[in-house]
Amino acid sequence: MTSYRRKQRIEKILRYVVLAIVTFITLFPLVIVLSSSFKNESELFDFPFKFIPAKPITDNFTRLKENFPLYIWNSVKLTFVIVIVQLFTAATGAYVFTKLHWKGRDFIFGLYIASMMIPMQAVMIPQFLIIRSINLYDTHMSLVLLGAFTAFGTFLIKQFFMSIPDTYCEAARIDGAKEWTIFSTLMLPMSKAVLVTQIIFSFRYFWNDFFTPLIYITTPQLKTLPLGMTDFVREQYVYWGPQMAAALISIVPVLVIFLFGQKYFVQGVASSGIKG
Amino acid sequence: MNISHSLKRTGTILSFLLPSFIGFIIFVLLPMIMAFGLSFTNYSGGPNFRFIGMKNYVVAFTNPEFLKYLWVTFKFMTVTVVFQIGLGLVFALILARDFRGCSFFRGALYLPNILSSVAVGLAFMFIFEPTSGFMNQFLISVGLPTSKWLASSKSALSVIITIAIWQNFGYYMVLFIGGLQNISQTLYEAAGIDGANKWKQFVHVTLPGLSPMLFYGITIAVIRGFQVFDYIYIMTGGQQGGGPAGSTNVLAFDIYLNAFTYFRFGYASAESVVLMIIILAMTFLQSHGQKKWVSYDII
Amino acid sequence: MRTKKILLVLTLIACLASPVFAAGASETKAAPAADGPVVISYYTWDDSSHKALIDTFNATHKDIQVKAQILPAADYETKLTTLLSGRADIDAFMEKRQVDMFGQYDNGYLEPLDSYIAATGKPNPAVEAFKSSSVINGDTVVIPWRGGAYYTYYNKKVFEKAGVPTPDYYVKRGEWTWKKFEEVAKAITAADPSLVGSTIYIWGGQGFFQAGQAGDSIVTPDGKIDNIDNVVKQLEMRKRLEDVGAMWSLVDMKVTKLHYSKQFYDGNVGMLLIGEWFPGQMVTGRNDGLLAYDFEDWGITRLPCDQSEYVTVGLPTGNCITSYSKKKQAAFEFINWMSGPEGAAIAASYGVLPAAPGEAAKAEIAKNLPKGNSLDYFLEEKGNNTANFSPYGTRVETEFAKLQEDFLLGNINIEQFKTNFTKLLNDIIKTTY
Repeated sequence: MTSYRRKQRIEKILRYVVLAIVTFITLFPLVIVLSSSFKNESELFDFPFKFIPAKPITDNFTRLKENFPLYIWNSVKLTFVIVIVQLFTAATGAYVFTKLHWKGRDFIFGLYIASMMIPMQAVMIPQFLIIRSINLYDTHMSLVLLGAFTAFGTFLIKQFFMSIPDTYCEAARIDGAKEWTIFSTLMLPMSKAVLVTQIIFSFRYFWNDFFTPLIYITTPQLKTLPLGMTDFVREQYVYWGPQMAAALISIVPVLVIFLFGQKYFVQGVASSGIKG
Repeated sequence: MNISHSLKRTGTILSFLLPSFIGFIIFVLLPMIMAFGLSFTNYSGGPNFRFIGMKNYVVAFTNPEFLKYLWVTFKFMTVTVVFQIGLGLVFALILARDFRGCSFFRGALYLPNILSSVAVGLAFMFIFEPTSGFMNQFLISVGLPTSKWLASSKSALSVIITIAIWQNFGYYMVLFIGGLQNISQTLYEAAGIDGANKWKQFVHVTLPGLSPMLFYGITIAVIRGFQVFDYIYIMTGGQQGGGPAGSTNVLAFDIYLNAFTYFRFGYASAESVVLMIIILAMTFLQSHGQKKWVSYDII
Repeated sequence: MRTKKILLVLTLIACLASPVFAAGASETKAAPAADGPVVISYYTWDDSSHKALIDTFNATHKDIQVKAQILPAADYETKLTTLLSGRADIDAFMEKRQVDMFGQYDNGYLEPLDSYIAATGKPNPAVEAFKSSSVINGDTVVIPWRGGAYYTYYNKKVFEKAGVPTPDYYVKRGEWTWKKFEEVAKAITAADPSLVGSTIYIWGGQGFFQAGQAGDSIVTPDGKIDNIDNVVKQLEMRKRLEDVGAMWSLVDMKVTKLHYSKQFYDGNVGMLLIGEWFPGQMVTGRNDGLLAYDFEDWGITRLPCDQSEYVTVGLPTGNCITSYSKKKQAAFEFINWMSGPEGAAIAASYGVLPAAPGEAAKAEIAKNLPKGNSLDYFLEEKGNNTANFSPYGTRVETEFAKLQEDFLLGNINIEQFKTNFTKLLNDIIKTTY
């Protein structure tokens, strides 16, 4: 009995030790970003590396004062719109692929899934030609439209909808409810968890997206945060300090959202694979 | 009556389908078809291009460099999939049960996954600085030999693979935690009564129960492995042409170089069609093979 | 079909538009007034001298206004390529990677400028000075504004510490050859191992200094492999220097993104071989307090040269006009002004060497250089060649860079390099279509 208890305790301690080490390794690079953003250009490359800067400065952040509020606002605004749009297209898509029956349904859904496999480089030029032909180059609208369709989101919500028995919908239909009513008053409220997960995924997708704004946005006033981060890469010289500060600023909101929505993350990611 | 009913029905279906379908057609399907068409031309961005048949494909497959990039891509994909899934599974098994601090550890290990690859790439370039970076200082202090990391054609790819694993294994961990929690406890109890030890329980209850999620995770990991681009672009040279002596040039990066540095859009399109076919084939093989090991009835 | 598509898109937008979003869209529409000045859309990258040129032009010209679109320098070529292939609203743009002009010319993006120059009544001095790199198939497609010439920049303090005479000493005696350069670099590092004798940057084109001076073109514009011996010679020299720490390792520089300006600012590099824009960076370094030594402690002299008559290498930077622009005349006036005496004076005040410096520009340049003989070497009349200026140029450069790294890392020997490089060039020629 005691040996069993001891074994259990050793197992427990071991578990914490392993987890602590791995967690340390995992979070370590973030510490580097944090400490680098308070260093001046010459101290940044000093070795040995100091976790706490010898002379902590806030200059790197003050240099962001001029343009970054606008970049942050653009990012917040666009992320908000894209999150809403993706939520809408993904949820309606999920509904039409699970609760409605029609010819060609599986085929089209198969196309959606296949589209997840397309490398972005393959479609970049044609996408640009299309955006140009509808005169949306250098507008926020182009980013919204390019982000409107999400195969992954549709898939994620569809997986969840599949776990809701069809009998609920059938009962509502017999009561004479319209599909849109069933969708908005029955399905959506039951799917809060997966919707929150989708929101977090969309948020993360756009908040971090660098390549799309790089190609489609030119006017400085329209720049988003990831694009603005490259402001400090000049032709001849890279300013690392402000870059690290900007990276930190871009990380913090994601972090906050993550801390509050962690539960939904875990639930949502988990639910995405069921009945794959 | 019936016609108007079926019209109404179609209208309802369309009203749900179109929001995603329009975006899909215009920004995914149409560009894909265009890319496919371009792969048979010598398109370089302007109006003066012509149809050249299969030439792009022939050039690609007779070019040892292309085959080398394909090989690097396979290496990257295989190693990242094995480790991401493996580590994800190990930590999911440790963290699936509730204990004090479990949600903190879950969160911490998942955290890198939500960060932008730009920020991640920058941070790791500091750590793996080839002369006296943090990693080398650490190795010296514990008496181990140092490495040139990203600055050596032997280790650059390994460094990038490590970073990719670091950033992504938490995602698979969370995925598997969900899968494990869905396995009914009674199955374990039944197995316990039958006298199955821990290992047997793992093989006969845990693995089959988790198999749908494992399948899904592997599929996603394979696709992402084939598409890797960001790390390579940020950490090994961007426009300067990739890692030391081309050691980190994956196919997606070569597509980028050909399209945006050499203006060989036609050739780049052919390369991306090849990549697309490989990914589709892999996914097809996997979903074909899943019947042998994935069980959907155990949960 | 297209109208249908647009309609569908619009429906989608109508469904989803929120007030926030509407505000975003309205910001982006800034249509020029119908009867105001001609507004041209001009693309360039982020640089203080570019900004000053545009601002001054706008301030001094009522009938033409330049609307500058500033792109991040690091991704400029990628973005410009996308924009041009999408026929984005560009009237004129600055060319960052000069060999890109061939592709742009083939695609018909570039407006031939000869008739516009002829209309001014006299030849353009900047074009005349860099004829070989401004004309494709007999069409003048670019008007250079910034000159192109490589020099030896040296740090007097480092030479003092090492007890070695500065490069201009050898230049005066006519002994500044590549052999001497190697000797001097080694002598510096031998005297004090903390000092790095020299730096040549990572760009593929920097492997072609000696080839350029000898008049080789690597691949000729009509697709034949030229002499590569001088490329091999320079590469072997680099390896010898890197092996003894007398030259900064190319692979390390690339991976750490350690910039040559940072190396030179920090004050332990003896010599830096870099282009005519570097005095501008020295001024920036001084103004930002990044120099580890006094501004008078550095100097400029000739690039090492094995030819009987001194010749340097370098491509000018210039502006092009798009063939589909609707405001070509206005665009031409702007880029012509930029390369003319007024533009040159402004460029010079930022430490940039203009393509055709007038007297005013020369006076400005003098202010941005250390005292002594630097100004004389900076402005002296000299020959200027460039290897690798051909439609194959970009690929040759990138592929060369890869092989160069293979050699420097010791993965292949020089014989293998020669075989592989020749094979590679053949391959590039064969697969350019």
